[in-house]
Amino acid sequence: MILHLFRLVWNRRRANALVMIEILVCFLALCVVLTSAVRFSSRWNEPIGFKYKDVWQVQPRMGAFTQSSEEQRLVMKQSLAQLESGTSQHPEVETVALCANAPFSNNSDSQTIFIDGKRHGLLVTKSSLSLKALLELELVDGRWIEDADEALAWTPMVIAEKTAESLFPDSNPLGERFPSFNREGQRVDYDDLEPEDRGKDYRVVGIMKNIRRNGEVGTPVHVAFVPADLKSAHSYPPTNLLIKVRPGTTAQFEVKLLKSLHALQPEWSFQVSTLEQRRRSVLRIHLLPLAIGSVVATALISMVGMGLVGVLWQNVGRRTSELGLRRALGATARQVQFQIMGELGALATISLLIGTIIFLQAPFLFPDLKLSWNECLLGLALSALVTGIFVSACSFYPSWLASRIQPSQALQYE
Amino acid sequence: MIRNYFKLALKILLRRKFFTFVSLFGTGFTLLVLLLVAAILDSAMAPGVPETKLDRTLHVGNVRMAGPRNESSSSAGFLLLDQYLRDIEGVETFAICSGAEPAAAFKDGKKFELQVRHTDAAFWEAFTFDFLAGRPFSDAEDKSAAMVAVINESTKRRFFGEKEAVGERIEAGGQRYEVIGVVSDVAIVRVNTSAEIWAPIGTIPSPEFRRRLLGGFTGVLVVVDRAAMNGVREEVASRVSHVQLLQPDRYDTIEAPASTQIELVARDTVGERYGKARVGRFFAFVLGGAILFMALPAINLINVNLSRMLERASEIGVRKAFGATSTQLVGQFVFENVILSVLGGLLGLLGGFFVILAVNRSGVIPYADLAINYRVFLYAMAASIFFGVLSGAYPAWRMSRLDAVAALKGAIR
Repeated sequence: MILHLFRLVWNRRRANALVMIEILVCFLALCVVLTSAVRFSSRWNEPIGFKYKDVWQVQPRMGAFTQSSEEQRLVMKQSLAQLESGTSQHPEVETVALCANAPFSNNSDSQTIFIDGKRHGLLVTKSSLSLKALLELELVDGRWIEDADEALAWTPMVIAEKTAESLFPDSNPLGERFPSFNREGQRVDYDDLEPEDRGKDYRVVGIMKNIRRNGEVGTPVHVAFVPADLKSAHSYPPTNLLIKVRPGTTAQFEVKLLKSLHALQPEWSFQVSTLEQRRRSVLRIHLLPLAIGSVVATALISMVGMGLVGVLWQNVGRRTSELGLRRALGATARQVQFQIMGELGALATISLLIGTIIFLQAPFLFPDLKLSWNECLLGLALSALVTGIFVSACSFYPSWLASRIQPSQALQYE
Repeated sequence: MIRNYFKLALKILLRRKFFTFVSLFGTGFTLLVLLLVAAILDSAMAPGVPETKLDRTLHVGNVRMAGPRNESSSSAGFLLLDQYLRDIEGVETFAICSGAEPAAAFKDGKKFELQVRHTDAAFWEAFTFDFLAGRPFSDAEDKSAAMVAVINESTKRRFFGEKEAVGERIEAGGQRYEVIGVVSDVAIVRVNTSAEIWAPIGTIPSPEFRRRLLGGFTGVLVVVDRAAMNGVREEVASRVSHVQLLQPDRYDTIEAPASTQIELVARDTVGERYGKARVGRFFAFVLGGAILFMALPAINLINVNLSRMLERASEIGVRKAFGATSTQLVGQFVFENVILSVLGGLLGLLGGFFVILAVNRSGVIPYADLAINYRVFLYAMAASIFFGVLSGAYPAWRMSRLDAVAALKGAIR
């Protein structure tokens, strides 16, 4: 019976090809929208690795550093240190930390690392010692950076679990030197490098839980925390000031905060925002395309739906004699209805199969999206379900009309 | 003949109302979306207040310095623009402005984030702002770092209500300005002019920016006429190549291409930031995207049209029997379909009008002034006709090949 349906579809292949393409395109559009929805919702409840509540961010604007000399850099570092200690004097403030790569921002201070020959960015996050307490970061192993580290001949580094797993797959990274890479991406021994290529001698002292910098909609990033080092003139300072305020502090505090910042640094200007606000704008940026996509997909699909109803309706009208004959030969109304719905169902099945094959190429074609098989398959299953319901809904009325055809009508047809 | 086709098309539209509805809805919605995109692109890239001279304006925005080990790119620095790009032959006005940067302002205990842009006095000549009250600031005020500012209409209303704003004070980013002018809002998509407060470059607190080749500013060159544009481009390139670099040990080359607005957009999307702008490729991408978006509704319409055509098999049979050629039949059917699409396009235009009103009001795009002007209207009509031909050609070809005898018998399957 089912094979017979496929034969019927094949016999009218030229007319059916277009319907099939329509269902295929709708299905693919659904796959894209639903897979992204699945992706967001499955990530939503996983830990993000830090706390953003009651944290404010101050970005001083002092221009780019590209041309600043070593003296200027030292002055800048002193000024930043003054801002840090000055801000912590307010009674509303719990903790203050300077850091690079603040959460929910996209400007980044990063360095290239190679994992399996592929380039990745490692967010080298210079930060004050207080950052761990401020963002409530959690250690998995080892220790956080400490005051006493200044005496060391090397620079301590705390890396994320994800970074540790990909760079030290077989060994415990604690105490190890952080690997250096040459331009081709091969690991090179630190001591073999020319002195000017060496960079700092970083050694891993701790491992953190993974951090999703963009919060609930983001994926874990490669990140390494290193001390801010406000005393030497060689490196650039981190330029975000994170402030954890006491619970219940209102927006009014911002006026007071800005006044005190201006008093400390009259030549700079400051932008104050809360991490809560930044999180909202990140959410908006990520969810807006999904919202627009769903509106457009819904409109396209309803358009196609109406088209399908029309085509089927007309089709049934033209097949009056054939369907009437089936009734005359003893087929029940239900069987006729099943035939019309089944034909479209068969068409849809073929479209879904082709669509599935096409969509399963996505993880290979766009490796940057890092689509997991679970997300893909769940998205596919949901899309198939929706397409199935949609196709049955479209064929219901025309097939019902078909089942009303009486044998006498068929005989009078021509 | 055309009149007959037209009458026939309308008759057929009224015959199968459901099909007509499907066609009109599909065409209307597709064109509405395209119209919205066209209106946004148009308001960002076509000349309009205040960027009325956009077709003969060049921008020096992106700068790249490179050396054997280092590379640094950013917007242009004040030093580069101020010292090297003045007095180029063929340039009517040369203005320097910063990007818009957020600054906190407070009103009745509520925080507003105002976009502040720092400009020189020539900026007000390079662009024709619509002054509702007051005046722009002068060169003398810029040089003496007078704390004056021009604000936009919405900011005026927010801070001063219906009262006169000129002469009042406004505090933003910790600086107090005297308001000397109020201008109409400028849509945020006009990335080189839009802001809420325009203040003199002289009022930037730290003088550090004056010593930089890189960072923070854009040079605007209004050229006397379009013929002189290439000469100005070459002169900019040659002057930039003679810039004395500040850290010769780190950087040995500098590039700062002068681009039109469209080239800027192309550079940011599909082109090379410092090499070729690839405007052609940008338009190819936009057009390709539009066609791709039209594909599904077009297939849907082809399907519906095929069904309609089969209903008219006997009519076609009669016409063929009386000697109509295939070409005539194809012409007729495509024409009918184009009429249907244009009708749908007009519906889309009507819907688009309301959607654009809603977008302008909602503030999704701050200060949006999307409008259906004659250009957007022409895009919409061209798209409708294209869509009509696209969705009518295949069914028309099928129709013209119907077997006349079978069609007359009504035995088409």
